[in-house]
Amino acid sequence: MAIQPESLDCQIKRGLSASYPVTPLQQQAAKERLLQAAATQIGMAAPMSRKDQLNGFVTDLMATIARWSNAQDDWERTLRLRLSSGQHRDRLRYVMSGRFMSIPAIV
Amino acid sequence: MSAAPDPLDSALIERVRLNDLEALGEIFDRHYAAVYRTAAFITGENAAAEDIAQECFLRVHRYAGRIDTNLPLGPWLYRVTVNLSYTYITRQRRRKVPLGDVIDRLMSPAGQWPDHAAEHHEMESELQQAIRELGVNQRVVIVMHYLNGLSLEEIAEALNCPIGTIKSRLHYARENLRKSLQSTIWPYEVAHGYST
Repeated sequence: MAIQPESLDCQIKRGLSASYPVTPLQQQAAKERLLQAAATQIGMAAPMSRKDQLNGFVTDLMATIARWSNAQDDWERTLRLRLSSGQHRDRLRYVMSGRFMSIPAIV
Repeated sequence: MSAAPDPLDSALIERVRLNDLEALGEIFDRHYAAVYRTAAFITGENAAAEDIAQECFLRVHRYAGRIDTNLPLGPWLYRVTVNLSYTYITRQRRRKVPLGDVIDRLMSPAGQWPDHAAEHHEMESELQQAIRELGVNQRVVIVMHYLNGLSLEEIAEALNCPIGTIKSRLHYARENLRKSLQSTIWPYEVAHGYST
């Protein structure tokens, strides 16, 4: 088979398609910049990046845990207050003895 | 005659008109690489190409209402990219480059130039160099025809030029590239003994 050099058109197409590659990371970063700029253009909050989404999730989780913790503190504080004032002491005895199903909520 | 539009592009443009940024992101994913590389070939600079691509997609958002969804989106994007690239090149020509920068650039090994960072292959590098040496009008036609795959009619429409002008630019661009590349042999193709 005769060996022929590649045609000019093929050389150009091959050279063009192989040059200036775009990496996924580069594209992702450029996309985030674009969406932020577009959001600014219309005065909206920008859609969050994956990093921001993760940070947001962690922040929400911490806030939820803090709320649980505060709620527990409130519950304990209320119970202690009522016990110290003599309220519900008898009901608490029922709870501690395992017969709490027969009584209404203690707080 | 223009090609038929991609229905997905048209649907996305409709959503962008309603300020749906997710749709803008999808358009970006579909066309970014082609837009970026078009700008990179015309300007010869990666950083400029990134800025131009960003501005191009911002214009999709800004002018979504004016984009004709009965036509393919690609030529619209390339026209904007080419116009932004022309503007960039014109501004660069007006800028005075400090003598120190020129000396630094001349003294640097070629491989350390930012523009050369992605050049791993000698022949790609030669082709890039050959394209860079073309006049900007010829360069634009080569990129739009061979990289973006636009027909001569589409290029003429995008650049608002007579088709004869586009044919002439393409002819001379190919002749110039042929001269530049005539010493280049592509060993992979030759070894396999085929050409098209």
